[in-house]
Amino acid sequence: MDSITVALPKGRMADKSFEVFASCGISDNIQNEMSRKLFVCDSESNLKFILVKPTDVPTYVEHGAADIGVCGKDVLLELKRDCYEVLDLGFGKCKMVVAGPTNKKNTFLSNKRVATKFPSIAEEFYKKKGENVEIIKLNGSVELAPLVGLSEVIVDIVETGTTLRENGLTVYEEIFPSSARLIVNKASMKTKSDRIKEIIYKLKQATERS
Amino acid sequence: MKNLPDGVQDFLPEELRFKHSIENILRKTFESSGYEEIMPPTFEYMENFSNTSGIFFDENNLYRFFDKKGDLLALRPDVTTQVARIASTKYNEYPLKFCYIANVYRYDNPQVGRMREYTQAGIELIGKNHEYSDAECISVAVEALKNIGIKDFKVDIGQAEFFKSLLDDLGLARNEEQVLKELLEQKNQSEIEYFLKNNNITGHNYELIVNLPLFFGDIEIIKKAKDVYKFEKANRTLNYLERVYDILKDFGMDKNITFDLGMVQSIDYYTGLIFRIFVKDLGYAICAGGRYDNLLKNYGKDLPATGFAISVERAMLALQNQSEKFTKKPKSVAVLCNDSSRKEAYHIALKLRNEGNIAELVIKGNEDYLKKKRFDEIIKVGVQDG
Repeated sequence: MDSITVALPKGRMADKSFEVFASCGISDNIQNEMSRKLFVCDSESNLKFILVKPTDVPTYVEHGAADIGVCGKDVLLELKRDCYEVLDLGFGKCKMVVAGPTNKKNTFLSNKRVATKFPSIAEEFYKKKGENVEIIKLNGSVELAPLVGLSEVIVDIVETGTTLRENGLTVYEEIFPSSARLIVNKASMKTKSDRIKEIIYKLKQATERS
Repeated sequence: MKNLPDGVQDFLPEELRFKHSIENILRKTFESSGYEEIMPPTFEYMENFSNTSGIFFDENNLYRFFDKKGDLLALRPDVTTQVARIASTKYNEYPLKFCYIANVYRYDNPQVGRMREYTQAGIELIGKNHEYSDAECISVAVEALKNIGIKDFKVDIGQAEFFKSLLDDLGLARNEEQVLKELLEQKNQSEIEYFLKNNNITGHNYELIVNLPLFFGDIEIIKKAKDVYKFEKANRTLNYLERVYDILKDFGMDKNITFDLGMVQSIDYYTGLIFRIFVKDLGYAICAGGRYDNLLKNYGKDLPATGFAISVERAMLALQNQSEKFTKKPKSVAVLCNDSSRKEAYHIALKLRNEGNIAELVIKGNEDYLKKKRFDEIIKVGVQDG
């Protein structure tokens, strides 16, 4: 049986990812073990798990270092890596939005500054709108940017909107909804097709049940 | 400036020797199968890479420039379009069989094994439209990869027409067809479901499209597809794939063959059977090809054609991953001599070279070089020790 390497995202989607993979017959203690190591082999299901930064998942999968991976649609659209995106796993739901100070909605000139962790999504969005904006790439705490005058608006991912509200920001526009996706390396899909098809099938059933 | 621009590289002796040894085996395989090597120019008029409805390649991916007369030129993004031009404009009798090993230029994001300048080794079979020509093309690719020592690879066969034949019934606008094509290329089942629902495609048509991403695997998948895709056009293409498979089976290659009915090619000129070759544990295809029956029309002759290109740098990566010891350097010999023995020494060196060795004449007094170069053998001619 071919061994399959699975790249899972650290952080908010890790637990849910393990939950759906339970349907592939992984042993119970694997998640505990994973909290201590970066790399775990499960002999029972012949699956190897690696835990990496969410934005690195598509990179591992594109290069075939992992055969399959779990990754948010937001990250996929930002990085545009060349791999199969086969399933919407249905969890990790959130929205990519344009947000800014609540009291200043619709008052900006179209030529403005946009702070974001997703520069290529932001660029494409404004290009389609026909607006020339300055994109400012940040690596975190994007909500801060409009408060201190680094930018007029932000493009960011929103789950509940609490963080935005706490910082006096409000959603101006929704760009697209996002959720966790199952991605597969293009060569693995063909060279290990039986095994991967089986995993896709089981995960599909598991997502449809929940 | 001492740096290189993105996407190009220097090949130093050891790596180049490795690359050449692969190219030599590929060339020999192609030529012994009846494909004669040709070499088109590195650049030509940009319009040669396009047809009336537009360019075959993404314009932004081409290296374009003006010559002094103001004509727009482009570095070739592939060799197939050039071979099509040559076959249409310089020949009158068909079929023709050509092969090439040449560098191509694409302004993509550089990746391992896919630089902006990279080498393609391929064949083109022009003037025949028959399952035998598709099978021949695939079999040459398989033999070529086997000969360079690649193990554990799969030829993944698809059909460019299959998806097109399904589109006819859907009544989608052109740009929506493109969206669906991209989703299919990603095998994006969930998004395809959403797409079909949004476009009010239901019932039978919904089932036909939504399951397409999963129609890949061994020959059984074609039999399964026959039960699902029962209309005439689809049946014709499926039967054709089966006949090609039967030929390849008789050639002993059935173990290497898989099918993918959801395969779409990004280059726009493909029309029929298409294929890609994947090596286990290498994340990308090392060979791509297929039928392009409409390309030659562009240059004045309406002829069917098929072919493939192997990416030589990716083949190198695959061999490196399979830790194949490849480069055999010939034995190197230093012939050490002085002013009075040089005549005799030169003849000895010539003889050694003719026997396939590397032989260098070293004049006494250059012992430093002798040490640095680490020759396999040193022959002293008329020179005393010390």
